[in-house]
Amino acid sequence: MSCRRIRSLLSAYIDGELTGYDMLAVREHIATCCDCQEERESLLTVKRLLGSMCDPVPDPTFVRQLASHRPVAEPEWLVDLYNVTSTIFAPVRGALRSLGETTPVSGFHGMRTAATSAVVLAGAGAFLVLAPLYKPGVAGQQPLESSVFGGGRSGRIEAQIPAQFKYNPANVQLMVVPLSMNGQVAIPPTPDVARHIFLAPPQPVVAKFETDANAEMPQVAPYYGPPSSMIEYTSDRSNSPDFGH
Amino acid sequence: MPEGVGTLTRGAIDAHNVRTGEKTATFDELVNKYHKQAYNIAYRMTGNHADAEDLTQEAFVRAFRFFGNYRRDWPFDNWLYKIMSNLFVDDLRRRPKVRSQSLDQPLETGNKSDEVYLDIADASANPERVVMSRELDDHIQRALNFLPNDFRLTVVLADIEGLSYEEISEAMHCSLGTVRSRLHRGRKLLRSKIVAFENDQISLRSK
Repeated sequence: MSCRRIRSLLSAYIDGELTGYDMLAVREHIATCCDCQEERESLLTVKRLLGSMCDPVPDPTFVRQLASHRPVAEPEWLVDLYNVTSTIFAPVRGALRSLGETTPVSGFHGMRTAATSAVVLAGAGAFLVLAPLYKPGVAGQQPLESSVFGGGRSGRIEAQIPAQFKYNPANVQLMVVPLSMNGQVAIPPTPDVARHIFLAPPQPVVAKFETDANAEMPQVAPYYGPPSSMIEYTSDRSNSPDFGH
Repeated sequence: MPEGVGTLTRGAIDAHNVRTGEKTATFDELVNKYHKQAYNIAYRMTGNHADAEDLTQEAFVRAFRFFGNYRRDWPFDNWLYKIMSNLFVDDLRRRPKVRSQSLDQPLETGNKSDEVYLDIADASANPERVVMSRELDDHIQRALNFLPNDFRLTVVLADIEGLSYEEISEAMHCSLGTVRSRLHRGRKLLRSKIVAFENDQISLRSK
């Protein structure tokens, strides 16, 4: 084997990832070739240097917040819904991503800036009811303060959304899920009934909402939050419209 | 050497507990157990604490969000590596803080820089090395920043996290040959950069 060929194998050799003929050929070669032996030592030094670096120490505050965010696995019906509607999500996500590239409010550090923003929904179906999915008592999940304007075939909701959780365009979604007439969330929600609205702070967004003409006229609940928080929800109508806590 | 390599079974059991046990309590345990590894990788990939925090948090959010897709025979940490690998592809591509290079392009290693050898003594044999270590760490991190994302992650997983080629190929969805090639070229590129930084330092001091 040529020196050139041997050298191309040296990294794998020092990692113990060579076997059989290649391993024997390298071992034999470097026993007699000083240049290749030196190259082996040099690569080994790089490997050792990397391994000898001091581990960076994360900020204790960050570690505490990491634990307090405590995402929970999504129930299967929601994963299914997510998969079914991913085609609808895709273009909006693209837009949100580009938004994320230009806004300074992003990520863990964005969360610290406590930005709030108004979300405007328009063109909605019958009564729109804000039904936050937030499970009380879990960090990062707070009820929305909302105002409902109009009703019937058109309406508008303005909601103040506190940036309590990590804001990242990739994991902030607002989705519309149908409620049955008694105000309970239909599980599983049928994607045909609900068209999805995605909004992301900090910019108010006007989104269109459609319902299937054949569907039983649903109550509609826009849910706002990172996907991981869209699991437990409050759907008790007695608390509406402001879900005061 | 991190604990990840030796804890295959334990990692899988941890994940199983999240599924079946008390989710909240176990999540805290998983965060406590794996955040250092995740943070280490994230820091080496991004080169700064702020981005490392974002990536670490995002990795854990994704891990639990997609827990339904998790293969139970995989150790949790390897699965986390896989998520982080995907994250880097998604995220770092969007905000190229460091020079990014396509795999299809030839690497620019400078004139015959591959022939430059690093001459650094073993730390244990040289007390000066300890004093220098912080400075050297900075040089290594700067050199890492120069690597294309795919190369950097391969080097980090292999030489800092101690994963095998097979584990890396699974985490990064690539062949063993690709791992081998990226690692070899990555180390050579790192070597040339570290040497260049060291030389700069020396010439600065001599002025």
